Amino acid sequence: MSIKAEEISALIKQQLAGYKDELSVEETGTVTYVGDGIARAHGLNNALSGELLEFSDGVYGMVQNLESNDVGIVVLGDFDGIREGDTVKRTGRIMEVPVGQGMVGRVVNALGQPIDGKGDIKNDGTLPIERKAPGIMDRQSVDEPLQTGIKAIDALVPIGRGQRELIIGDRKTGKTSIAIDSILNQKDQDMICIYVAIGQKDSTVRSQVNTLEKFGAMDYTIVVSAGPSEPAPLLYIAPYAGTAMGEYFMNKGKHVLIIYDDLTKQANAYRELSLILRRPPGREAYPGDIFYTHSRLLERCAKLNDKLGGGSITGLPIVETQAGDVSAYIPTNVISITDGQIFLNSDSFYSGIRPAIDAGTSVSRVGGDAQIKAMKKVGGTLRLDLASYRELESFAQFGSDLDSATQAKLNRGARTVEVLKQPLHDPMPVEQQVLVLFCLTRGFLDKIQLDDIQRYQEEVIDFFKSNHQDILDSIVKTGNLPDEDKFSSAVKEFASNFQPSQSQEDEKQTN
Amino acid sequence: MILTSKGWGSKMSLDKVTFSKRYAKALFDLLKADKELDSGYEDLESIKAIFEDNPSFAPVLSNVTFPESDKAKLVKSMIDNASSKYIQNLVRVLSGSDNMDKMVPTIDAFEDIYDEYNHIVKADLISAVSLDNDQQAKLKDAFAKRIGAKKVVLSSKVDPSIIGGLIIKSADVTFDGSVKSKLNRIKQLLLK
Repeated sequence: MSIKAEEISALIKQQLAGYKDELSVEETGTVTYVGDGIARAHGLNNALSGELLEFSDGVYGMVQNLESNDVGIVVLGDFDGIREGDTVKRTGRIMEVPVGQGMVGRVVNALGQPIDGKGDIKNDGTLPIERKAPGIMDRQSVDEPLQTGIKAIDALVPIGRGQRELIIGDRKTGKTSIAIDSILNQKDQDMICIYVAIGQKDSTVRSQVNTLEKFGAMDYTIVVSAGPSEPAPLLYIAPYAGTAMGEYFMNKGKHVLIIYDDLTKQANAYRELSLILRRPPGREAYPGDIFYTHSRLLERCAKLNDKLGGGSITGLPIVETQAGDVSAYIPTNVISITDGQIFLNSDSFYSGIRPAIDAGTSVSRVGGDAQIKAMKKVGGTLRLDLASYRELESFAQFGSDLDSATQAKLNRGARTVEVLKQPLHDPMPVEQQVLVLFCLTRGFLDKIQLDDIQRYQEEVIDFFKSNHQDILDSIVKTGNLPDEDKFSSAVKEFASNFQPSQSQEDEKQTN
Repeated sequence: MILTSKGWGSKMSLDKVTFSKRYAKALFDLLKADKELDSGYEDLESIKAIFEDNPSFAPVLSNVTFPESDKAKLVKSMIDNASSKYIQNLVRVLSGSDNMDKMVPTIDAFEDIYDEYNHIVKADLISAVSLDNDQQAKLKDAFAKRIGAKKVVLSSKVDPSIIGGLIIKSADVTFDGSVKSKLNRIKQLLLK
């Protein structure tokens, strides 16, 4: 291949067309202190709070503190190249990140720069990371369901589009798995998903991205990652950056699901930089505005009214607790901000109930309106069943003679727990959930052995897929429960052919 | 060493800035009311010269191991040399409250207020080659016109690394017309 000099010079000319020979006039200040991801600078008398500044080595900073004699700056990047006495100049802009369709399918850092090695991102402009949440009149109530594909959530703590639902639990209880499974289930739902990893190990994020790629979920997902090796300011701004990327789609009338994994680490990063900025520490050494940090973030999750296109952002913040202590500072804050929480119990997790959702303490404050009617009808009694099961379970351990009503309740409870178990990365479409829960609540499972429940579920779904697809379709289309008699007879038809597993046959014979 | 000047990092020097601004403002108001601004300014300049000519002077005055009587002697000569009674009092107050290390920042802050009041602008001029007086005078006029000042005090510096053109730094604003930064901008355009 020969290189033509004219072509190159034409290209260079084209690129230089934008150059204007002009005097650059800039407001500058002098760095007086630098360290631990923050810098202080004298001068910059007109700097605005939140404004982006540029240090002499090209690193950017964001104004955080405006004091009488100097400004406190968080450095967004490597602060090793900044020296005392360096100049720092105003850019006149506030912190913005690139947004647009081109971001989808990419892994970016908190500044919106690609970190997946797939080259430049074609963005459709930028949006400021800090924006005011939509006002009262811009919103409408949440009434569309967001199907997570997890039976225990969709039946017990349904989530609506535009809702903020907290996922809370100890470390290693499956918080992230629920979030990832929810993303997987958004396939073909015309949703954009944004996974914001804050302080998550790079290897963990890598494996999440692998999972998403494996299930084809990266086609509609943006991953924003601020790893633990990055300076605290980037961890702090990551969720705001992710939300700005989501707002672009929301304003275009699309539906967005954002997962903040996790806000505990963001709070820790903010605590770190606040302490270094010498802001007074409050409870647990968090700064005074830690509540506002989270409330203004989560308030940006909204369901817009139809005039604004009806788009939505659903937020699933994740908070980690220590030894199940939900009364610590950050958990109570975020619980009070969100519209409900999914509490994950480490005891259940280790006893094999996965997802380990604690039905008693998990609530959804708006989701009930956002359930399809069919789900409401079949899932309505689940919570009660589980509650009475938990209550009776402890009694049943003492006495052996139980009346038949109690026995039945225990029986039903054990089966409910079994039905709500679900393997990892295996989201279930809503019509199948309705079918399984219909079998449970109408008593078809009461005679089935516990070990057979999972197999029964799979087979009944297969049976309906091949013989009664019309019933499943009608659930999807109308959202209503099909004619109960017809539905029941179809299930009965299956039940009559269901073979209990061999081991129990043997048991009966030996008995 | 004692901890007054450097011990606790930025917080301490921050206080110094606030302190000197307050004293400078008060001094300026007093001098202005008595129409002694110019003579007071000269007094302060000569005091500042003492501190700048003897870098060990300020540390000695704030050193606790140095006898108070000797300190008083040093300070007395300074008081005698000042013509304005307000300047004399300032020296007495600062030395009495063991704040002599804040003398120079206070004078600097005073200069800022004085310059602003008289529309004088101080600027650093950086050029690749040294400029003759005629060129500097022209530059001063042009710069004064641009920023609307009555008088421009230039302190020029030669820095061959900027290749050509000029950089003028004044207060918080940098006017950069150097060839170096223009080349940098072209580089950024090409790298886009």
